[in-house]
Amino acid sequence: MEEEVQDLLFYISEKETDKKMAEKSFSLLYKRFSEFVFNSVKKSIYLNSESEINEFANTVADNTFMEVYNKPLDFEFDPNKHKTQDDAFRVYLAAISKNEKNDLLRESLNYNSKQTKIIDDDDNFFEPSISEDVFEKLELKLSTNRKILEDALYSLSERDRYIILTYYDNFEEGKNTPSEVLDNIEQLYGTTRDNIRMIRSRVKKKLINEIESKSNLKAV
Amino acid sequence: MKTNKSDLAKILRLNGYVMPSSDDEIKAFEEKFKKSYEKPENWDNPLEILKRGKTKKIDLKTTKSVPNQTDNLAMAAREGKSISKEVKNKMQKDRENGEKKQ
Repeated sequence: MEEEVQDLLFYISEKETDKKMAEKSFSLLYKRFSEFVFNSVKKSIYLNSESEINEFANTVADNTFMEVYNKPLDFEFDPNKHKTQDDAFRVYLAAISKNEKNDLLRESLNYNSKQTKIIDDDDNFFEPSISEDVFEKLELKLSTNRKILEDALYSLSERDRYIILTYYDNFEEGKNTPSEVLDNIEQLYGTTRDNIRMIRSRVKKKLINEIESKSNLKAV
Repeated sequence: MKTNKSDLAKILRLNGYVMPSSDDEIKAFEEKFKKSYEKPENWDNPLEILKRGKTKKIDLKTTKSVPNQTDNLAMAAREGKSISKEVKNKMQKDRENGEKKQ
């Protein structure tokens, strides 16, 4: 039977008194969760070459587990929110790796953050909405036919696709996009904040039209 | 027109294009990709990570060289594809702005 995540983290927290046990626990956690971290980072980063993507995803995964090793007791399991400790730990790791990803991008791109806050416009004329019932149908349709979404994404220019996916990778409902995320996109893809907003609006419209035409659904 | 940014974000997350962050998104991600998971570099020796510590910086090239939309439009024009009046006006405006900067 596998040991519970919280037990392994407790052993890691005792690294000063029992280093071997801490390292063994770290290795067990790594074997259980590192594939998820590495592959989810790898699939969601858009860089120049496969070798750059691999190096980036490996570094983020390593830094994520290093963070766990340094602060093992930061993880809390709430059984009201998650079914199992493993489920909760994956969500926790996803949050850490997202931060590590943005930190690594900022440091590697070597620029000074502008520290200005951008307010996402909530009433953008160009941004179409999807009604709840259509969203449910779209979700169902796309879950069985990933190619529709793939075709829609690949109908965009490579640059627009990278920008939109990096933007949505950091999107959190009800929150403004963090300034550093927009700084990263500006630096990485040589664009401006106004352009990011316009590309996002244009791309979303195009994606929805494309998806609608292929799945015979009407969005708005 | 009502705005709903979360819908597309959710669709992209559920389909593995952006990082999953909730229980259901992670479950969907694992169902789709677990079979084809690649192993990370330190799979056989995770303790190497502890010896090395955190890496703060790697050598990244920016993708500024990826052609922007105006470049693509100019390319379309060179290849003889038809370009709308609206797009032609945009190209003209971009050219004028570029000349002003010089």
